[in-house]
Amino acid sequence: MTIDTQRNGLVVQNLYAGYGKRDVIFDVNINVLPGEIVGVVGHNGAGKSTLLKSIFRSMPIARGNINFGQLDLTKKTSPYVVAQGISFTPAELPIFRDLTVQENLELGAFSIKKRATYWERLHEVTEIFPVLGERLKETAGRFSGGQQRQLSIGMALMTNPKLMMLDEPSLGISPSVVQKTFQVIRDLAKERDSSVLIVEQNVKAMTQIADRIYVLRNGEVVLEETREEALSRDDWWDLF
Amino acid sequence: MNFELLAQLTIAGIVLGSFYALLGVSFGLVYQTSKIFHLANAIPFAAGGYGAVWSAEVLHLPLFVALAFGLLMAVVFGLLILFLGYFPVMRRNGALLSLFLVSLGITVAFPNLLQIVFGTENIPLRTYNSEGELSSAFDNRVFSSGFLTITLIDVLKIIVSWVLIIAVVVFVKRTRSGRSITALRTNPTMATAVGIDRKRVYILVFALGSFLAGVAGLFVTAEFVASPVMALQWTIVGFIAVFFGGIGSLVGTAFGGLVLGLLSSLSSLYLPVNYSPIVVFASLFIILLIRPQGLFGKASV
Repeated sequence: MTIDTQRNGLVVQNLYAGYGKRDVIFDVNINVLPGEIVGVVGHNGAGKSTLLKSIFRSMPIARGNINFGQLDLTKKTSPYVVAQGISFTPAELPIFRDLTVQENLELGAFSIKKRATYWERLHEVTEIFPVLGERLKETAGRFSGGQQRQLSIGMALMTNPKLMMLDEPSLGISPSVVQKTFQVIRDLAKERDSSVLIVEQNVKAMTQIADRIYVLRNGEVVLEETREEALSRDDWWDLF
Repeated sequence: MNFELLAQLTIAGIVLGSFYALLGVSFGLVYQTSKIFHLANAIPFAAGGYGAVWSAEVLHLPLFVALAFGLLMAVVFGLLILFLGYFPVMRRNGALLSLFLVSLGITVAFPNLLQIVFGTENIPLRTYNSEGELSSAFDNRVFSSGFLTITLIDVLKIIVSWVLIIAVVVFVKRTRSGRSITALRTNPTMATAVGIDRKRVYILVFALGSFLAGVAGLFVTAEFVASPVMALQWTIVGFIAVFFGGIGSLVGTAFGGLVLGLLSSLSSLYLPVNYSPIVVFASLFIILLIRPQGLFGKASV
């Protein structure tokens, strides 16, 4: 398949990455179009988080190319990636627990230099998640799992990203909160025409939100399906 | 109870504790942010003292310029350790044990380097007077009030240490660069996720920590002498203050240092003076048993 990097948002080609000399993902090819929500599912250790960290350039890659629009991210660092409008929310401890909600949101906006823009974004985020606005001065570690997850997404939104990358956003929160959180993510992506790349083990939740899904097994992409195709499947387990 | 002795020892304890607090914040800034057990913080300490002594004698710099030159050398040597010692190891594997071994090696080798360059003798801080002769740079006057006495250097130790500690704490809390230190200290993964450049933060904390270590080195040189082995014992006190006061907090570290100084000094009421190092280590041991997070630290993940 020829990929038009001018039109496409994120394009990952022939990516190999891992820890030390041991590769964990092999020859991965994925893309995320502007405004599209793409999910990556797979079992524990399939290489999902490694894929996100590699794209975010917070870990070294062995081979391959990563492009975002016209930008080549392959040899860049995380601060550069953030500055180009890509956010990354890790699976575990996605907030600064010892700091207040406002301090967390300030750090979320770290790459923004204009103070006026920060206040504008703070206002937007607290409108989307009113609980954050009501409890700005509270220590974030006191929040429930769901509220912490909302805060982590709020932090990502502080940069008004063109691409949000979320690593297991359903981790540690109840199914009803997962549903609500995913709905917020979907609405935001569609409203702002921004892309989302989500890594999940929760396949059911993923099919509710993603336009397209990749299945990663033992570090390789073994399947790419649209949401409709995924929903028509009787059983997902044989893919893992 | 001898109240005159108690008052005098309390003052001595505040002086010592302020100095411990300065050393603790110097070591703590680097350790809490990078997790590197930066024993080589002894090098900027010594570089501060030797920088001042050398520039005053060889470059004929007046006292305050020589002190500034000493501080510059402290920061330069602190950053040289980071760039030539730690960064290459971080690029290879970044294991904390490897970084500690690098630090240990530098700490052992540096006094030998000082001996090769400056000789084995102790060197006092001297400047050239108006007659063109080298003379003692600093008149360490003694102030007395009733039964209490305190020297000029002791007064300066208290004032300078706390002014610098407060300045560092305010910097960390209130500025954008300071917030990047807090972010990296409390959650390195998230710090990267929000776009903080880890390398830049390391450079910042090593520069700040080395500057504070350099100030401590200047105090010791001005009060006593510069010597090849001047730094290690004080550096060890610095990291005791960090673990005693609380690993996760600069304010906790500073107050930990103060309490440690007071304990060390006041122990002389009941024990011979040469027992005070034992009191310091025993206090740390007790704190680690009953409050592993440190006296003012929070028990958190």
